[in-house]
Amino acid sequence: MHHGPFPADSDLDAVGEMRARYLAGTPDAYDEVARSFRLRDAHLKAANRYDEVVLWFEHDLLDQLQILQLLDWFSGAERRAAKLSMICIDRFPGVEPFRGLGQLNPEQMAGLYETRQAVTREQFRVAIDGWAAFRSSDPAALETFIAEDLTSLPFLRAALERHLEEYPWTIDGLTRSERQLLKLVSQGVRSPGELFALNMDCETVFFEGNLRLFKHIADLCDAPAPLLKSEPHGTFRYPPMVAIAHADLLGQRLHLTSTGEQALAGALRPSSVMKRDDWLGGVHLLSGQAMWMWNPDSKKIQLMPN
Amino acid sequence: MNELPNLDPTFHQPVRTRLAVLLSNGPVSFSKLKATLEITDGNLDAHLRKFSEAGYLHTKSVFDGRYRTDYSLSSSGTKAFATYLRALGRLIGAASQT
Repeated sequence: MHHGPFPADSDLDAVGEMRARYLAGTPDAYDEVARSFRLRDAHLKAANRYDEVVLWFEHDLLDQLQILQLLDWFSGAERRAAKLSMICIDRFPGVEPFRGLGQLNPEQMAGLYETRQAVTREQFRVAIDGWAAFRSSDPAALETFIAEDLTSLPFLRAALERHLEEYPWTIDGLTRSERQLLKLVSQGVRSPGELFALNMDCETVFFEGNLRLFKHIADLCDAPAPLLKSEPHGTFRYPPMVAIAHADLLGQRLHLTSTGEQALAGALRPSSVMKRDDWLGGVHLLSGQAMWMWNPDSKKIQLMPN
Repeated sequence: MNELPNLDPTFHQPVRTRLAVLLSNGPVSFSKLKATLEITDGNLDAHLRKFSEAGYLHTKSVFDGRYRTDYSLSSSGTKAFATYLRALGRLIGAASQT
C-alpha cells in the first residue's frame, strides 16, 4: 500500500482495479491479482452479516495504512458489523525482535484476542482524515496530518514519517530504501536473500515485502546509468515480471557500479539519478517534471525543479 | 417425521456444491478449478465470490516460478460444509422413508 497509486476520488472497486493493474506488473498476472481484490472486497462488503468483526494489525507502515483505509471504509455505519474491534501491537513478551503477528503461535494469538478494543469515534475520525491526506496529490496534506493529535492510533505517526523518507532525498536523489540497499551492496552483500534480511535490520519497523525489495533492486539496475549490476543477466529478474525458478531468483548476484558509488557519495544531480514514474499515495513522482523530495535537514517535503 | 433441515444456499447450487468438494480437498489453483468444473473464468469468479462473501474461502499466495493464488475452504467454510452435508444426508434419509 505504501507504493503505487491511491488517487483521492476512487471508490473501493475502482481502487481495487487500479491497484491490481499496478501490483500485477504484467498483463498475465492481472487477472489473478484483480480476482484477489474482488474476493477480498466481497468479504469486506459482507461484514455487516457478522455480530463482530475484529481487525488484527501490527505497527508497521503497511498495516497502519490498512487501518486508515479500512476504518475510512467502515466509517459508513451501514457497512460494518454490529461491533468493530481492533488489536494492534508493536511488541509481544518473549518475541524479540517483534516484526509482526506472523511470528506468534496459535496460543499467543488466542491470548491477544482477549485484548481487543472497540474502535472509537476518535479512531474513525483520525483514519478518515489520514486516509484523505495519504491520497492527496499534495504531500503537504500528509505533513499537516502528521502534526495533529494521533494518539488514538499510537503507531501511525512513526509509520507515516518513515513513509515520507521514501520520497527521493534532496541530497542525492535516492529514497531511503534505495540508499540502504546500495550501502549494503557496497559493503559486500551480494545475494537478494541476504539483502532482504539485512535490510530489515536497517529499519526500526520493517515494512517492505520481498516483491517491493526486488522492484527496488530492478529499478537500481535499470536506471539510465545503472547503479547496480546483477549477474548473470545484467538486469535483475524477479516475479511477476519474469517467471523464474526460486533458486535462480536467489542465485543472482549484485554489484555496485561506479555510478552507484557516485550516487552513494552524493556526487550526482539528484533529479537525474533515477528515472521515476512512481506513486506514493496520491502523489505522482515523474522524472522530467518538478518533483516532491524529502529534505533530511528540514525534515520536510519540498518541490524541487527538474 | 423430524422437521426437515434447511440447506445453506451458499453450497446448495450445482456448481458450488462441486466447487465446495474441490475446495475441501484443497488448496487448489484457479486454473485447476476451472478445468475440473468446466466453467468460464467469470462463472468461477462469481461462485468464489459467493464463498468469500460468506467467509467460507481461504486464499494463499504460492510461489511457483510466478506467484499464484491457491484456494481452499476456510475453517468456518469447512464447518459449514460439514453441516450442509449432514443436512443433505438427513433430507435424503427422510425421502427414503416416504
